[in-house]
Amino acid sequence: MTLKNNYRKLMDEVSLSEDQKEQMLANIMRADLQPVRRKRSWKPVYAFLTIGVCAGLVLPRIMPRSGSAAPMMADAAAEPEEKMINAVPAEQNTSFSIASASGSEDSLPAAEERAEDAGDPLAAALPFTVTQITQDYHEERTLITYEGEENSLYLTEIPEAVWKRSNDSGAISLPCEKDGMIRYGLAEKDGMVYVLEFAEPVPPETMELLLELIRE
Amino acid sequence: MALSVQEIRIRRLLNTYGDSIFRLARSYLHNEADAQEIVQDTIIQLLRYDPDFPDSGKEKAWLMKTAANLSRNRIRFNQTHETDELQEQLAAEEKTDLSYVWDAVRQLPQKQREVIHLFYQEGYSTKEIAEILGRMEGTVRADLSRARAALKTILKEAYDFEE
Repeated sequence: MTLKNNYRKLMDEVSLSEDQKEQMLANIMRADLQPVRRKRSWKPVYAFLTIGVCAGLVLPRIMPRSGSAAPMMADAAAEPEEKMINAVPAEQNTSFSIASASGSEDSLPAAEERAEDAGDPLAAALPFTVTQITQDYHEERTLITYEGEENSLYLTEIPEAVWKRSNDSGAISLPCEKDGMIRYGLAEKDGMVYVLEFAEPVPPETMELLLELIRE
Repeated sequence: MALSVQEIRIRRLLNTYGDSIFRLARSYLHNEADAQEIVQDTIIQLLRYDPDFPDSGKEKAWLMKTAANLSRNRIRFNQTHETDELQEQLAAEEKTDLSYVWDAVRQLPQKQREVIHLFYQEGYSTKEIAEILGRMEGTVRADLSRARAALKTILKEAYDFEE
């Protein structure tokens, strides 16, 4: 005989009689059996708030770093003008502005208008105006849209690899020449393509110097 | 006279689980009147909270857990209010000569006693006992082992403790 068996045998003798059960039934029926309103758990609310606060604190710090081409393209329109102008040495006495490669036509007004405003007949005589440059990082190619003299639209694909081969340092250029003088140039820095628009035509040496500055 | 749904439910609970709850409460309280109140209170708690159970095993486990908690509360209440615990004799003691078993179990600490009861009488596994009592399974196993060792010493009988 094991202890377990003895214990069970002992306990099996302990049971409620029918009378006791009836009495209990009556007592229970008389008791307040109104359902207890379960307390609302605030845990999900706390969890939601915690996640929300953490996301609000952490995401703004992470997003600009994790963003790749898109934020850079967007920032380019606002940021680089001053920086690039400062990069031009004073002795060159050459001013230029940079239009972003973001593709906005507003950032690149027609050459004729700008030339007229600036009173620069040479600029007005340029064969075309670059209106849009789209850097397609996924396809590794650059689309350049420009407007010709006859107001026709040309689309030229220039693979980025070709541009880079033309300039081992990584800065790429596509100068637009007129009578041996450069009026427009394209330069790449940190994955961005910039359109350099010179207020006055510059000789090729100046273009090279500017590209050097940009590389730095 | 037609029985109400509530009454049918209470009868089912009493008939199905009444004895188990009663025995558990008695193993804690050693007092029939208190144990009966624990049975009533346990069923009242079930009716008021009305939890959802996937199966009857879970329902019984919930009732045993509630009965254990209520029994412990009653022990604390009795100690605080210095009520005289009625040292009632088990009905079985007169019918069988097993009172020494009960006496031995009563000497165990409460934690070991409840484990012994749930393991021997209700046949729960240590894992199930851990869930019912809200303890770690390892703790339950340790309590069970200590309880067996203590009973062996107390009883000094050639029980088979391997089961």
